Amino acid sequence: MEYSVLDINALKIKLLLILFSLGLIYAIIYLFIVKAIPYNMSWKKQKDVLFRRVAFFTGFISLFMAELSYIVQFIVDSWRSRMNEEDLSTILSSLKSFVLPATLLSMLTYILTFWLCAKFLRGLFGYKPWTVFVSNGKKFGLF
Amino acid sequence: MAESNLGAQYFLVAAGGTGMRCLQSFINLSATGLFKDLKTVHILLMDTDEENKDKRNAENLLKSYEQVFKNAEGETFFNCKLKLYRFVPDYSKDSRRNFIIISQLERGDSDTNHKLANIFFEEGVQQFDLSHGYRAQTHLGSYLMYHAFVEEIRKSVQDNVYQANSELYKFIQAVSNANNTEARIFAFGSSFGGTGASSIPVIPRAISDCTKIVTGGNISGDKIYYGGVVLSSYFKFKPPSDSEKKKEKVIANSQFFTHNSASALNYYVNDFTISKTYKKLYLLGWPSKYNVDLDAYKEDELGKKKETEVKTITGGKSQENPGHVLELFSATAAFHFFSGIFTSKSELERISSTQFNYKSMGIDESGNLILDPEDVISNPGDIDKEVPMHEDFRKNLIAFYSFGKMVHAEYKGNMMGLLDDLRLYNSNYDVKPEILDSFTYFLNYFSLIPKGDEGNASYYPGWLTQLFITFKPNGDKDFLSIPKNFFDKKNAETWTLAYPELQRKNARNIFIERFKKINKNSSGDFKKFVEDIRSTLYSFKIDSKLATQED
Repeated sequence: MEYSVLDINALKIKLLLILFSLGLIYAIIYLFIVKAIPYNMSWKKQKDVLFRRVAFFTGFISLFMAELSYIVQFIVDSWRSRMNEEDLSTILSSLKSFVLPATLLSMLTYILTFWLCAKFLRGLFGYKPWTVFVSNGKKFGLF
Repeated sequence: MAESNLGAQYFLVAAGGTGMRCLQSFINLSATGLFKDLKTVHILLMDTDEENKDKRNAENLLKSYEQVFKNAEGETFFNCKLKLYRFVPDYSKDSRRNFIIISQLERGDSDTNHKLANIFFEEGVQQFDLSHGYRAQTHLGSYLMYHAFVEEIRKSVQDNVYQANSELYKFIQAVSNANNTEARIFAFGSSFGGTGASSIPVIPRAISDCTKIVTGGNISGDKIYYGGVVLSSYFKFKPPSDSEKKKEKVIANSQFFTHNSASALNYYVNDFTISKTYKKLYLLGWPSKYNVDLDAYKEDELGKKKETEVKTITGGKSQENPGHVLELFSATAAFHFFSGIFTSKSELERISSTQFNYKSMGIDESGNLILDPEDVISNPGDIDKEVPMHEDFRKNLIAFYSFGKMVHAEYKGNMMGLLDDLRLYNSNYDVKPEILDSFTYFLNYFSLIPKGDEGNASYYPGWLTQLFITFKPNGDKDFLSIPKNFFDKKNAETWTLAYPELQRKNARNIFIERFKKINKNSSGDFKKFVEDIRSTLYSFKIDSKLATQED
């Protein structure tokens, strides 16, 4: 079976869309998780902002792991049954250089979506997600 | 019909221990924003007892108010400027310790002088130590207070250095200047005690005469209007022992307060020196069976059993009585007199003889008194408004109180903790520590006063808590249509109880979420901080019980 460049590109676009969607969905899910971590009022040092950051980075890392290990594998497995080893190796070599940037793009989507929602959709998500990026008037509470 | 009082200036005279506590109520209500329309009120604080704790408390409260006002003058809380003047006739020196010395009975024909004095005053009255006030001897007090006024102003007029230091002179000068437009002067004081009861009858005459001295007689006084409260007895304390009576000769005895009140009322109603000077008097009485037992209060709430057992308190550092609803009514009576919403200038001009005002409270099926917000202040003209005056008053009062308790419950009384948390959540307020100290003092005095070090979660009752405690008649029922647990003096955690929306486990989260929703990631100064906190608490609905009643 012959695969044209067009087929490979279509595959890449499909993969890109899936990864982009995953980044988006993860961002929305973790926005709600971050929103669910309550504010606190206490004379002791507050930890809720730290928990929100931990949740945010947990989402980030889990997305990365999911994309690399499971999702890409799932797609490859679904193709393996429909093609011989030679074709598969051709496709894989073609995709190899694409998967990492696409995954990174997905991560960027996650961060960007989270950031945009935290900054501009406060009616929906409140002010908590923004504390992931800025607290005490400093970026990540540090800078 | 409501009229605006353009150009009118407002003057408050607080005399004696009860007057001081009425003043405290006035200051507290001012902090909650009730007197916004008045803009500035000149307050003359008048007492014969320099060390009186009620006076000290009123002074400290006013100083804190001034400090906060300077930095937080706003649309809601702290929106009326209160300007303090003090006048304390000095009876501490040996040369002015009693009537005989002050009136110089020994000079000239001593025998005749004494005979003349004996016509008006008993021997004991002439001799007792005045440094603790007039000890319910109003006939003597009125005489001395009037002359103390006039003497102070005369000295000020004659001596520029003395004048520069005389706060009474500045007060009188402000009244004189206000006569060009309109001056409304309101007097706080009891009708049954010493200094207040002595001062109220002579205040119009004394001020009027003093303005003439200050202006050299070039003042008509036709635009100066007087009002005042006539407070009848509402507390009692241990009668003096025989040895105390023997030692002091003249000593205040609360057993006679009811008789004093009755006599005073008779005088206020019938005497032309009152009816021709006061435009309005507000009669405020209290069922004697519900009188506050000061000794029991001090024992139960302040743990001062031993001290009160030793001797009867006639004044001085130990005279510190709890706040009472009648004092709250006095404060709103002053507002009623000042505000064009309730009292127009044309109305005052029409009054030829003192108009007596009073208010009544409801009772439940068991005959217990009920205090609803409308009983404290209400404007029939705004009943159709979305938030009528009484509800606005209640919401602000409760917001202020809740805030005070919240700082104790969540931050061990350290407001800086709240500011740190808000900063963490990107609401940054730049507040100087000394302003925060004044504000904290004020809030504590209003809600709960910590015993000793912060953090031990043990409190003396603050002003509003005192009002609740001393308002015994309704027993276990609600106060100001708010569940009684809200006023629990032992537990600051109850700060959420007035708000059904906050009566959940995650009340803190709900509060901050609301704060952020209303104020966004705001930054600013102390004024902004106060406004933002207020707007947040104000946005919560208060106890559904009242809403049901209104529906």
